[in-house]
Amino acid sequence: MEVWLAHPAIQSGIAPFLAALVVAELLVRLRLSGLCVIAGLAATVYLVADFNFTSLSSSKKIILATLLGAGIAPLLDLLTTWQPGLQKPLRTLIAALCGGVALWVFWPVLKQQEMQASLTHGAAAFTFIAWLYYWMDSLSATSVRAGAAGFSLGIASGLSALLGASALLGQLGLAAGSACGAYLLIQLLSGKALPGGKTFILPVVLLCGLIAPAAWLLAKMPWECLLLLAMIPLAARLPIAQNAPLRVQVVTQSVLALLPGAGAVAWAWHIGGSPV
Amino acid sequence: MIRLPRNLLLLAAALPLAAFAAPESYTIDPTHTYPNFSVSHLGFSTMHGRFDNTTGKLTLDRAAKTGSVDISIATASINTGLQKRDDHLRGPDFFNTAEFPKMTYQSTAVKFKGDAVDTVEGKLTLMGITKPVTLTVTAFKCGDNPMSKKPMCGADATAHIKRSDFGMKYGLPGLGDELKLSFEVEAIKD
Repeated sequence: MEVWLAHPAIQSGIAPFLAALVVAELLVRLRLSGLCVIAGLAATVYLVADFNFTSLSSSKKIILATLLGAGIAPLLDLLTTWQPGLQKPLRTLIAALCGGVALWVFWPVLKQQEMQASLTHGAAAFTFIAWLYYWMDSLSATSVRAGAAGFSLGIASGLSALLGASALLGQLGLAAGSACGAYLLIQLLSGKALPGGKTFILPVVLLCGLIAPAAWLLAKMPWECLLLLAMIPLAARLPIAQNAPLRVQVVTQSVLALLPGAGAVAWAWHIGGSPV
Repeated sequence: MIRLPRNLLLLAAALPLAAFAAPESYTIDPTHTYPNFSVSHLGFSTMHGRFDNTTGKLTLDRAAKTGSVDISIATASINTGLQKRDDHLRGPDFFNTAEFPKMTYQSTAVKFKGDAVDTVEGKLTLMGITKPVTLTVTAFKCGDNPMSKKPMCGADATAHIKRSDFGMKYGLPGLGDELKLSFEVEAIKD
């Protein structure tokens, strides 16, 4: 059993997928299926790391921020249901706050760099995650598009991080991708859209939006991958036939969202080659 | 004849002894100081590596049998002879060198056996976590360098740590938890 649980495919593929599948299905009546992402992450963290946050390295901060984001997100969904007019200003505010979280996560690295490098890297990390949140949140009303974007973001940021010499960050990203895959699979099989909203979007963005710059700043992932990953929510917005069956939408939207993600992985492979 | 006070004569006689007993300060010679490590690779073999860039200071008071050790190791200087593996070891899975560029060792007690340093008790800080680590000194010599004629001290020392104690848990249990550290240290008198 221990040998199985130590296998990376179980740790960052099957375990988060199954955890997400169960949570998304169980919480559908409570409209909290979006929490499947955090269930998937928790399964992977349990198997590859731990929930000990006494020494807060950047990787630990990423996990902590995602967990906290998952705790806050349902309340934000309640708020925007109660006050729909808050949707747009809240989107901008949360995007900026996500950028602030990125600065908090990477501050120990940024403060050791030369001023110019620190400003450039800090601004890039801030902009990347703020951009991701802004555009991912615009997909929050359509769970198929959001799920497809999350699936591509998780898989692509995970594989790019893996090729950029960080297996831990890679596994966390792949866990997000697997969880989003479970979220999409339920919709594909049932033909019905699952509830998502910020409960789904915020943890995905915090996890993948921090993993990718971490793999760039802490490991060897090329910066161009960030540009390609940033295209994923835009690809998920591309128009498809609205009257197409949901199953067709899931497949089409996933393929579209995967295109820039595949580009990021290909570029990381081209620059870094295969992992050790 | 001028008669010096007796206390002054005693003081003058004691001066050379006091000079001998004063702590001597040494600076680590980075070209002859390399922290090495070895770790089990999947249980099949033992992988070796070292850090190429180490700085620090030693003080020794051989009369009083005390001293101190203060060493700083640039973690990004890790070298196992394979660039791709070194990149991985520098990343967040292992030493996370962008975030934690230094590994430091500060002694809390230097213990002598006869005239030679026997053990050094101290604190190792790695990846932001500080743990007590005792170095066992297997060789120790002070004297003049035959080439430069400068006074210097050198030592070989070993220690064992568990990397998981410092939050480095990637690859456990396949990649060994226990790291054997061995230091070859030379320091030149200031």
